Amino acid sequence: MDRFALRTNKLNLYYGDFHALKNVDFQVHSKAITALIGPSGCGKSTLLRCFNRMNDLLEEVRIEGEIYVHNEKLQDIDIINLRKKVGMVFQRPNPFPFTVYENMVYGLKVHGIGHRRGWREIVDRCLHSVGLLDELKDKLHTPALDLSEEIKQRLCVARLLTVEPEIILLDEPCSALDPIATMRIEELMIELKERYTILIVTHNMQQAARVSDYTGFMLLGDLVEFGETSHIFTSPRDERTEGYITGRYG
Amino acid sequence: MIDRTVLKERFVKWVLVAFALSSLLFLFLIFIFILAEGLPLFLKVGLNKIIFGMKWAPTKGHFGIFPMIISSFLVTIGALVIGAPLGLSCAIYLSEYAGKRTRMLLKPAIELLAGIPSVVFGFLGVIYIVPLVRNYLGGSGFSLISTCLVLGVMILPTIISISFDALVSVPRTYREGSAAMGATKWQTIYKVIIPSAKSGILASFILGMGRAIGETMAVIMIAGNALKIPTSILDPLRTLTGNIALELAYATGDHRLGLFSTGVVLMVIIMILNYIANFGIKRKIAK
Repeated sequence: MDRFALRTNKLNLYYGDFHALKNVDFQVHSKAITALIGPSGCGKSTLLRCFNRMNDLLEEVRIEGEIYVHNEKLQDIDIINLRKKVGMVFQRPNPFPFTVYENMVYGLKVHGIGHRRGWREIVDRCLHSVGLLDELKDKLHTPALDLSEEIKQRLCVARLLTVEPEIILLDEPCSALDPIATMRIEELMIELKERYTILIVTHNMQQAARVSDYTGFMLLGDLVEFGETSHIFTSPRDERTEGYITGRYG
Repeated sequence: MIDRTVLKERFVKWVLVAFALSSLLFLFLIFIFILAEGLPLFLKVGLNKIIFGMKWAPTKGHFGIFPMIISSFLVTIGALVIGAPLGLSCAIYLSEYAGKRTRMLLKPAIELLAGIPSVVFGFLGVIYIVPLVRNYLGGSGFSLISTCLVLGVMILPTIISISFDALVSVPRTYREGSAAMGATKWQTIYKVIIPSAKSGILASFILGMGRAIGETMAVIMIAGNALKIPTSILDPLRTLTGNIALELAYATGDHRLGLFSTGVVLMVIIMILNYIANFGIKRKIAK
């Protein structure tokens, strides 16, 4: 097992003329939760979106430097398999406007995994992993858009798990949720880290402190500081980090 | 005393309300007018004999418009068979694949297509399509297939512009979600975007049908206007609209009333289509 599931080396990213990521050297430890924190516009979501090439959807993006996924160069992995291996959960829960079941088997259909008859078992297992099986087993054929925001977000996580990713990227997954739903999603993350590598971008410093094992602090495109979460929050080395976590700006 | 500006504001508002209601008034008047002229014959001859009657000889007391109802449906379905796949493909290309520049070039061109007078479509049909059908498929060329080909092109702007609006209004988050699952672009379009835009796409088809069933001039020029149910795609036929336009100029008495009855049937069919289309659109908004 590699120590790092994801790694970047002198990563630079430009949106047109705007230099959004500056010489970022960053590692994500396997089977652990790594959090990226920093004020709005610091590049944390941009960095996260590099790992499953979501930035490709945007025009005028230029990337320099290297990204490795389990020691394999990102460019050497075809985009379909990369996105299967590196799943992503978005800021706003985005189930498709279909039934719960249709949402759950979407990845299986797209990647041609298993046989139609075996899907139900996979669906049940993945719903169970996110603690939704009891809640949804009788609602598999109801519209996913009718669910509450928290359940939708869990469903989006479960939908990812069907294709057996190794790494899960979470882009501010709780920003549309209330505090109780947020707490439940955080508990889910801690359960999932035994089997998956998790990278989360969050606005919420307390959330990073509660759930993550490692934290990176970003500011204006620089990865200012990276280390174990307990160190970052108790004895930051850089005064900019200290300023942010003590609330002097941000 | 009330301020002058307030009075002026009220005046403007009421003038606008009056104008807005006038379109409703026109609709109502047309409705009343056609019903008043068309209904007496239904009472006199009987609904069955008109709608299911096979023989149209109004001067001899036969008012059967069944062949024309069937013909109208056939050209409409035929136009849809040709126009729907073409129009939807074009809308998908425009919304998902075309770059900004191509889109800016194509959209106005399609809107221009909608602005071409139907007599020009009919003219082109007579000059090019009819001889083509006559030479390669047989018959006189004035036929169901020629009519469907021309109508299929005529309904393209309707289908393209409404489908396009439905496709581009699919939220970006669905596209991102699908891409992040490792779906290819076509998988995303086929399995997420089209199903999400389904009701708008269906509405575009139905409004296209409304356009096709109501089209008159081009149809008269190409369809051959024979008074029977076509048995092959090469047979000539006469539609409801064609019947009215061809005969109204010289019709008198019951003959004239018979044409209004044709109009009533046509209006009911179009109202049903519009209702279905609106229902589809409303359901989409409700989602």
